[in-house]
Amino acid sequence: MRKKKILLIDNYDSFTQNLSHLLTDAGGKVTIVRNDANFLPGLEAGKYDSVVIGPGPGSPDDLHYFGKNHEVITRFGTSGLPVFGVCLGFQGIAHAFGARLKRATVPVHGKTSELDIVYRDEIMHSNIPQNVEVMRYHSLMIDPDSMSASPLIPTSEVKRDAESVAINGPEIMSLRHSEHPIYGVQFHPESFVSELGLVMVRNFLEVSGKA
Amino acid sequence: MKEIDPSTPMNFEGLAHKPERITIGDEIDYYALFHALKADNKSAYMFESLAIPRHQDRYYTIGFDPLLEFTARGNTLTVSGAPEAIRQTFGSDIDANAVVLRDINPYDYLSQVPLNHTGRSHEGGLVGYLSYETVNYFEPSLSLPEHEYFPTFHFGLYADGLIYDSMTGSLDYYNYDKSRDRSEYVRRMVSKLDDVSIPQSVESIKNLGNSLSKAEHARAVEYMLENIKAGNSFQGEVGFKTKYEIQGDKAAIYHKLRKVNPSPYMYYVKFGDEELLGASPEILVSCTNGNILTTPTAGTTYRDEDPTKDRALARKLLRDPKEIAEHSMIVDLHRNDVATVSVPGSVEVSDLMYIIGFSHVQHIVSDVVGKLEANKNSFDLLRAIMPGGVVTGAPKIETIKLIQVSERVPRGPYGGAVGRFSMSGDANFALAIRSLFCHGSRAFTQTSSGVVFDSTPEGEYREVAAKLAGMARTISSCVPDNGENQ
Repeated sequence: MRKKKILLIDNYDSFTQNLSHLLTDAGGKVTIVRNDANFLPGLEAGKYDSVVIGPGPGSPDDLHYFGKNHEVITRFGTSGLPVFGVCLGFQGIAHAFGARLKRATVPVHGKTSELDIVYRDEIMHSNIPQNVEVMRYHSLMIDPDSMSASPLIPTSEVKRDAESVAINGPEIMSLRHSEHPIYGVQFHPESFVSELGLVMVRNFLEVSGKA
Repeated sequence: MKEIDPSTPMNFEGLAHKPERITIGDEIDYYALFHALKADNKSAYMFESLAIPRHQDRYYTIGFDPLLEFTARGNTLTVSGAPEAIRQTFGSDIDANAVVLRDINPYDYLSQVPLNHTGRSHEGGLVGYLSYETVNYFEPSLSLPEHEYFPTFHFGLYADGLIYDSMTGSLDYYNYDKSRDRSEYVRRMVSKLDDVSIPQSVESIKNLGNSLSKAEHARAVEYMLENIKAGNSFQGEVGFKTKYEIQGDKAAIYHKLRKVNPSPYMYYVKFGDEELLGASPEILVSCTNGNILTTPTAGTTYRDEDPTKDRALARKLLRDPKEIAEHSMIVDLHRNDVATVSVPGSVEVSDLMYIIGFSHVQHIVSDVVGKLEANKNSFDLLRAIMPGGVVTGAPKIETIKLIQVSERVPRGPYGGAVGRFSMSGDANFALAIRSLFCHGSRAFTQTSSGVVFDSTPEGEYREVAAKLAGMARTISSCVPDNGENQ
C-alpha cells in the first residue's frame, strides 16, 4: 500500500517529534514544517494526503503562536483535505469554526483521564473502546456552551465523574466537523502514557488521501 | 591570533585512525596525578564516578594540554593551540597560536571535526562544556544574551590522555598523535606523586549575594505562573545564582565536594582561568555505538537511615500524583528530543520511574533510549537535546524565552552540558548542575526549581535557597578559618 503523505505542522513545540514518530509507525510518510514556514504552496499543489496540526504553546487566536494554521483549516480543511489537530491544533479548529476557548480553572498537565465517547465516529473511533485513558497537557479548553452554534460535533469528553470535570465543568476531548474531514483531539495520543494512540492515528490515516 | 576565512577546512590527517595504548601501572593514585597534571598544565580535565548509578561504565578519564582549544562567543570561533598544531590543522602558511573565524555558526564549524576513529568511548575527543546559551546555535528563533564571562562553548581536542579502570585499578595511556607521545611525561609525573599535596583550603571566599532578591524571585515565579495559566508553558524552571569571589586553588573546593556529595558524574574541567567543578547526579545524554540513552530525573525526596523508613519515603514519592505528572512530562519531553535524531520506532521508555538513592536525596528516574539514525551523529544528538528538559521545562522554546525574562541574567554553563564528543563518534555528557563555575576569582553556583500551576513563590524560593545554601556550606568550609571571613 502507498504510504500516506502527511504534512505535520510544528508549533514550536516539544512533542512534535513524538507525534511524527507515531504517524510514521502508523504508516505515514511525514514532512515536518514550522507553522510560519512557506508550506502553503505545497498544499495548493496537492503534495499531501492530509495535514496534522500539532500541539504547541499559546492560543490559536494569536498569530504569533498559530502561524498559518488558521488558513490551513479554513481554506484547505473546508475544501476536503483531511486535517487532524492535536491540543493547540484541536483548539485552533474550535476557534476557526466559532467555538470559544477559555482558561481552565485548573489546567491539567501530565495527567490522564478516561474518555467518554459521546458520538461514535465510525472512522476515528474504530477499535477505540469506551473509557480509554489518554494523556492531557492543556491550560485552555473549549467552552462547551459555545459549541452548539458551530458546525463542530463533540465526539468525546472526560468522564463526568472525574475530579477535573468537577472543577472545570464538561471537558470536550475530541471533535469532528459535521461536513468536512476535520478532526481534533485535546489530549496527546503521542504521549507514552496514552492508550491506543497508535490506533487513533492509524484511523486518521485511513481518511487521509481519500478526498 | 590570525583571522582566517571561515570556509577554511580543518585537516586532522596527523591523527592515527587507532590509538596506541600503553599501560602506565596499577593502583596508581589517579586523583593525585590529576592534581599534579592540573598544576603543570594550563588546561586539563578529570571525569570520575563516585556513586551509583554509572550508566556509562567504570572508567575515569584524565586529559591535559589539549592539541587545540575551540572557544565560541556569538558568531565567532577561536581555535588556539601550539603554532605547529595550528599549521597542521589550518594550513602551512599560518604562523600563529590561534585563528579566529568570524560570522559563522561556531557549533556548525565544530561539527566538522571528524570523529570517526577507531577506539573506545573514553579515548580522547572533544572534551569540555556547552553553556545553556549554546541553544542559540541550534534554534534560530532564540537569541539569548550570552554570559558575561563564559563562552557559549569551550572544548579541547584531546588526542591523548589517561583512563583509570576503577574495577581493575589499572591506569592506561592512549594516544592518536604519534608526533606527540607524552607517556614518558606521564611516567615522570607518576614518579613524583609522593610530593603532590592536594590543597585543603582556598585563600579567601566572599559571598557576593544572589542574582535575584526574594521579592524579585517571587515576581519571576508569578510571571511564570501567569504564562502557565495562559497555556504558554506547563512547567518552567526558574532559579537564581549565588555569586562568589574566590582567591586560591579551586581544587580544594572540588576536594571537599567529592567528600560531601560523592556523585555518579563528577567533573573538573579547567581551561586556563575557566574552572568548572561539579557533582552531577545525571547524564544529559550518552550515545554508544549509536545507542542513545537519557535518564530524565525529576521528583525528589529525602533519605532515611532506617531502610523501612527510607522505602516509605520512596513509596510516598511514587504515589504523589503531582510528582508523577511532572515526571511524565519530562519523559515525554525526552522521548521527543531523542526522537529528533532516532530511527522511527526505536524510541522507548526502557525503564519507567525507578528510584535512585543518592547521598542526601532520592530521585525518580526513567531511562529513555533510541537508535541514532544512520545519517546523524553525536553533534546532531546534542543539538536535539540541549538544554536538557529538566533545566528548562516544556514546551522548551517558549519556556526558555520565559526563563530569560524571569531570571534576568544569562545562565552560562549552568544547565548546559559537560562531557565528551569521543574520537570514536560516541558522546557522553553530564548535566551541568550542582556545580561551581569559576572564571579566575569570579565564581557562581545556580539552581532552579520547576514552577507548575499550583506552585507558590514562597515554596519555590525555599527550594532554590535550600539547594544553594547546601552548596554555600560546602564552599565556605574551604577557607582556613572555616568561613568566618565571608
